[in-house]
Amino acid sequence: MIPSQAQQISRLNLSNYSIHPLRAAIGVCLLCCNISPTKCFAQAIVPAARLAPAVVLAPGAPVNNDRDLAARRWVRGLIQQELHAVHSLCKLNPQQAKDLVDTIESQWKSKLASTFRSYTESNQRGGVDFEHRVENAMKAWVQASESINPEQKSTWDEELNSRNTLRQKVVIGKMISDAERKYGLTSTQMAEAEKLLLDRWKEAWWVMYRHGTTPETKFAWISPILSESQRTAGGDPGGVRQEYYTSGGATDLPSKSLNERLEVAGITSDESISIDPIAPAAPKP
Amino acid sequence: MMQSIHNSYAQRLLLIPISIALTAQFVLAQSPKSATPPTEPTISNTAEKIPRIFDRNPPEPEEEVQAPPKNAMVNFAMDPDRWIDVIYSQLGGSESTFEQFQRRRARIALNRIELICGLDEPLREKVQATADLEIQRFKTEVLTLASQAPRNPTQEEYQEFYNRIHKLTQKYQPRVLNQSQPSLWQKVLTSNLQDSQQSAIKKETDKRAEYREKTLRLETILRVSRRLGLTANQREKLEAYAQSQPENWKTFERAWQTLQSFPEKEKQNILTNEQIQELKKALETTDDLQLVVREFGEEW
Repeated sequence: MIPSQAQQISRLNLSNYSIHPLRAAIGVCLLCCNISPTKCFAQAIVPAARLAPAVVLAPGAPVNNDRDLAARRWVRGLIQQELHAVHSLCKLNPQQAKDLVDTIESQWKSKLASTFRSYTESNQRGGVDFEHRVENAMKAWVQASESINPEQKSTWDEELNSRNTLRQKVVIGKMISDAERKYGLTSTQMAEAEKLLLDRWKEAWWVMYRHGTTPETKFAWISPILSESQRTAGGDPGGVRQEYYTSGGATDLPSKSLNERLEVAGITSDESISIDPIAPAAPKP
Repeated sequence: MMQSIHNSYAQRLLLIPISIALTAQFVLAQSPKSATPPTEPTISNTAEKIPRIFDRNPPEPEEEVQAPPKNAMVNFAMDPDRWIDVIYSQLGGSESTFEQFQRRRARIALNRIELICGLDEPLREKVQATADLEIQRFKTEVLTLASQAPRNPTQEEYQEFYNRIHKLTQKYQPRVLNQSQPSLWQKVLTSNLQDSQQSAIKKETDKRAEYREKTLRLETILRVSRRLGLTANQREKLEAYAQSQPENWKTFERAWQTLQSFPEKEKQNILTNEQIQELKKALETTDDLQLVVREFGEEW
């Protein structure tokens, strides 16, 4: 069970939850058809009361594994870099820097809890777009900051727009390279297709790309720029694109220790804010 | 009406013991014959030779299939049909998909050349016919090879034969397409194009290759930017470096090493002090599965 859910459950009245194992027990018995429902109900009443405390024990269970810790370090690394970037672009004064770093130090865990959870629970193939999530959180912090003036905020927005433009170029470039082989595009057609795809840009394409898949360029999208013979020939189903998965490799995410405080423009977060270093759970025998 | 129904049932019930008695008499009458050894029924009609779908005992096969040796790789006979499937699976599909892919490949290339420098219809037909001929030739080669294949191969025999399969299919493997052995239709096309057409195709091919390389470069810069937290200005500066040395910026790892080996002055010109400190760190590795994409462009 994920920690936040476990904590919520522990705060609630247990009598509401004791019915769940009871229902499950009845369901199993009905399926098996070995015991009558009435008899089963009578037997299940006692275990229901015993099973309820097991739900309460969940918050105490070790939830921080290696993946969780890695995710937290990457998130802190990205936040630290974003802080440096904000300072180098917006030239924060000491007061602004202090406000921003304190806010982030106190909120980062709750704001990005879903990111750690997604990574901890994700399967091997599905990745988590740490960069995008941290970027969104940072944007919200900068926008919410009262000490940062509107000009600085707009400068930061421009930087974010520039990043998005680069992302669009990369993803659409990949899609066009695919379409080049699939439909036999010329360089002129590739330039035209780029414009068409840019008009159709979706955030989901970037997410797909970060998860390791190049979005497909649909025939209908680029058919206006194809010649008659190209339209008749259709797409090449085979293609010569080679994709495969390999285990491990260098990651492009920066990492920062959980024991180090965030800092920007030489100002670290306030000592009163707990950074609460988390030790990894002992490996199971 | 009810009366008539009762009568009919009563008649049927009476008939049952009578029919049993008659059957018993018939069996007794037949018994001396059944004591003699059973003879094979003579089949006069050829249609009766064909086993019907509901036959419980299908006829024995005419030829006794030899049992596979103990060290055989599989416990069934690898007949030529199975080998044909194995050969085409090396090319990522079946016989029909191979044929479709090769035909379409030639067609797509011709369509593109038509747009670049124009192509007359007779030449187009000639090239397409050559492509068809090449497909037929390959299919014949596959049949010949499959007929020579071992029926119950051991591991060693299979490996030995697999080398022959690899040799045959190597030319059509996507990895080496257009690189070492151009297809016959490509040779025919080259020999029939004028110099001006060929130079136009070369120019066009270079442009498309440049587009792909640019995309790869941008992708690497994006990853470096994520790792170091670069700003838009810094990315622009880095792009100029990447353009001048494209080989060093094809992968993230190589780009990282290249940046680390930059002279201090250049580093300070591009990066901030925090980023220079970050650059000194080694790249962290992850156990997650990572997608590796190999880009192959078409020369035509």
